[in-house]
Amino acid sequence: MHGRVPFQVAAQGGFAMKHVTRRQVLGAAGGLAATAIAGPSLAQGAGSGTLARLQADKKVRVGIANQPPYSALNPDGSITGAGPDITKAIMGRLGITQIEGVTATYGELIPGMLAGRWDFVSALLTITDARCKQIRFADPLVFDGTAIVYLKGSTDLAPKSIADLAKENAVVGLQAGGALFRRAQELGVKLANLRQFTDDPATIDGLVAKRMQFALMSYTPVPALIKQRHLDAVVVYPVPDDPARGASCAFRPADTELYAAYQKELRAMKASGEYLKIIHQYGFETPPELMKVTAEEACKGQ
Amino acid sequence: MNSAIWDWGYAWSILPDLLDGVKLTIVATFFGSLISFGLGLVWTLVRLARIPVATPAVEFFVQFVRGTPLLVQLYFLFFVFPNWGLSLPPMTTGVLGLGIFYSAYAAEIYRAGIEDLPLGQWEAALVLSLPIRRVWFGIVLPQSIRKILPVLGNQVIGMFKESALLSTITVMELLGQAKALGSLDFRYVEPLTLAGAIYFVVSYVSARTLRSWEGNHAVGS
Amino acid sequence: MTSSTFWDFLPFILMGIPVTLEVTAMAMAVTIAVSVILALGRNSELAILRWPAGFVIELFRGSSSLVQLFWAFYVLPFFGIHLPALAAGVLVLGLNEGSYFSEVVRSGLNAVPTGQREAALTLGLSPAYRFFRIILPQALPIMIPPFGNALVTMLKFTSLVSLVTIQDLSFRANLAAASLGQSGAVYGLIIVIYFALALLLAGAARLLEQWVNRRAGRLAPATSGRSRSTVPEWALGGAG
Repeated sequence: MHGRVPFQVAAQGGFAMKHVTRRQVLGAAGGLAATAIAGPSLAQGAGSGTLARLQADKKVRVGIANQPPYSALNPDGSITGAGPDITKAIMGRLGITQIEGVTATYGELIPGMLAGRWDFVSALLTITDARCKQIRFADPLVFDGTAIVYLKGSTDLAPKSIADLAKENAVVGLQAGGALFRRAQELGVKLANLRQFTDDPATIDGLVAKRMQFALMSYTPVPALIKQRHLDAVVVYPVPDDPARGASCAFRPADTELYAAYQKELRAMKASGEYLKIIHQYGFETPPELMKVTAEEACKGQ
Repeated sequence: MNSAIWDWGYAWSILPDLLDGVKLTIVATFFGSLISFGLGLVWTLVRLARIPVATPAVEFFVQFVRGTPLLVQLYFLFFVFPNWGLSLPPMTTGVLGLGIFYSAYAAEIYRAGIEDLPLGQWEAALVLSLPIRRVWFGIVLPQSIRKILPVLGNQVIGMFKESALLSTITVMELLGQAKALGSLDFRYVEPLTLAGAIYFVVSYVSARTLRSWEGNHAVGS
Repeated sequence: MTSSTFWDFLPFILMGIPVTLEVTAMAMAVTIAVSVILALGRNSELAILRWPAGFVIELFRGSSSLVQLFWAFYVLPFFGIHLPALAAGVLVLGLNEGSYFSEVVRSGLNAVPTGQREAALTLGLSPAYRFFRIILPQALPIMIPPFGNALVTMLKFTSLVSLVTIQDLSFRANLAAASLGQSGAVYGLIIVIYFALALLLAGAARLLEQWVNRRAGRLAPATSGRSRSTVPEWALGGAG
């Protein structure tokens, strides 16, 4: 019954479909082989090559988190925020005109960079000595501290520090993969009492959804987030046991030339006033006594 | 910076935390499965009973749940429901999400099991003039369900692996733990590989066990 | 920073639709290739082809696809393999779905009457010709309905790539929801979009099924996939 038909069927349709997919598979396989061969150098940033490569391509790929005003992705795909804007200025001075921003969560930014997914991190990561051991920070770009946020009337407690929260066995929400995660536990907050969110907006939403009574967040985005969501919130800032720290962009330890170039331009921008102009746009302020703090000093400051 | 690709010392040290995550994974899978079996049966019965408003509603709901990603359903339950007054803890939300998503598939599995019943069974029930409820709950369902148990078993294994999605709504199950550990020490290689290995070992062993049970029970029935 | 409204983000969100569809299409291409290769491997008489094929199938079916995605994205580079994000996503999705679908392909291939293979052999046709022009076209009609299911499953599957920085519909929704503080509108919108896309793809699969059946010279079954219910009328409820 089927016997005679297949010859015609195959001649008309079936074969064509298989042909296309075979070619695509071969093409993909070829691409895979090519990258595998070129591969080994990128995973840890093959030192000297990076800056030269970026300047030759005139293109850089940076990792950011969606965390206005530190760094953010615009609806049109461009990146903005204090970190990216400074990066854009510096890259421009280095002759690198195209900046591609890849958005990830804070916890993914460093591992992603080390895996070669982006050339460096242009989000503002809090400078901690643990991180300093793994990557190189540029000089602090902004200084920011932690705030305790809670909705008015949602609790009888009036915590003034993270230690208070730990003492009261309170359930606390904060950002996953951030420096706060480690610090809160160091100060006594139990892991079981921590609710981790992907970013600050999600943390505030968690507060609104009553998933926890208290949120621990970096201070600067808080006023804008509260206003946007029309919340009646109490903000405790500064918090004595987690004072303001520097935050900056991060580089692979092996990318020494890229790092040196970035630092040089950054310091020039600090001297010329361009740096201050940029961060003022986002509501940050760096007082004169902190302008000259270097990355090394910031790392030790913990 | 440890430049070796794999650090056995580190891998060993994170294993206890990963196993903590496995506990949550198992809990989520267990309760998610219970919900999916129960709800799935409800959907099937409503469809077969052809109740005026409920049946088309259930039909649509099942199609909708099967036609949209589990990830987005989880986001909906986690981010949107609280705005409507229903704020559940992340784990509960995750279990509910898994349960509802898989209940839609379970409904199809039940249906297949019921339709697979030999006509002789129906004829016998008719001849014996048994009341409808007795037909369904005494004869059809028990046999159908026994037949589709292996398929449901496979679904449980599938849910075990899909439970990794709960990490996106802040549940610290296995993948959530792996990523948290990875971000603390900036090394994803060991946590992700170990987590992957754990998922594989558990689901592979379960699948083989299931297949051998299936083999034993296929004979006689 | 200017504060944006939902409407500012709407184009951004909608631009996720072509991305999602593109990932779906590419991943399905990989799925087809992988499933055919694995099916042939498993059917092979040579153990050296059977075992690796079996291994790949067990590996991808037995592990969590989300973990595989993260692994391909964050860990593979340390082993020297640097796949662009999109390639990593498409390959993982395709290998996963392909491993499952290889069973369907095997059933399809095995359903072709052995007489066909023998006739082709006696006629002295080359293995490629035998496969592509005789066996595969007969196996296709059986494989199409499950293919439709696989297509819709893949559409939903692609939402996972949002978690490895690919800017598909889910990624854009996450971003918009976080930036706006309006998760209800955003997630509500994309869940409806996904459902619409699923219906579209299911419809396309049904058309494909009819086309293949016509080509194969057989009448399309009255209802694809849904066999006539064997539950007798008297056992069902309802107003008749």
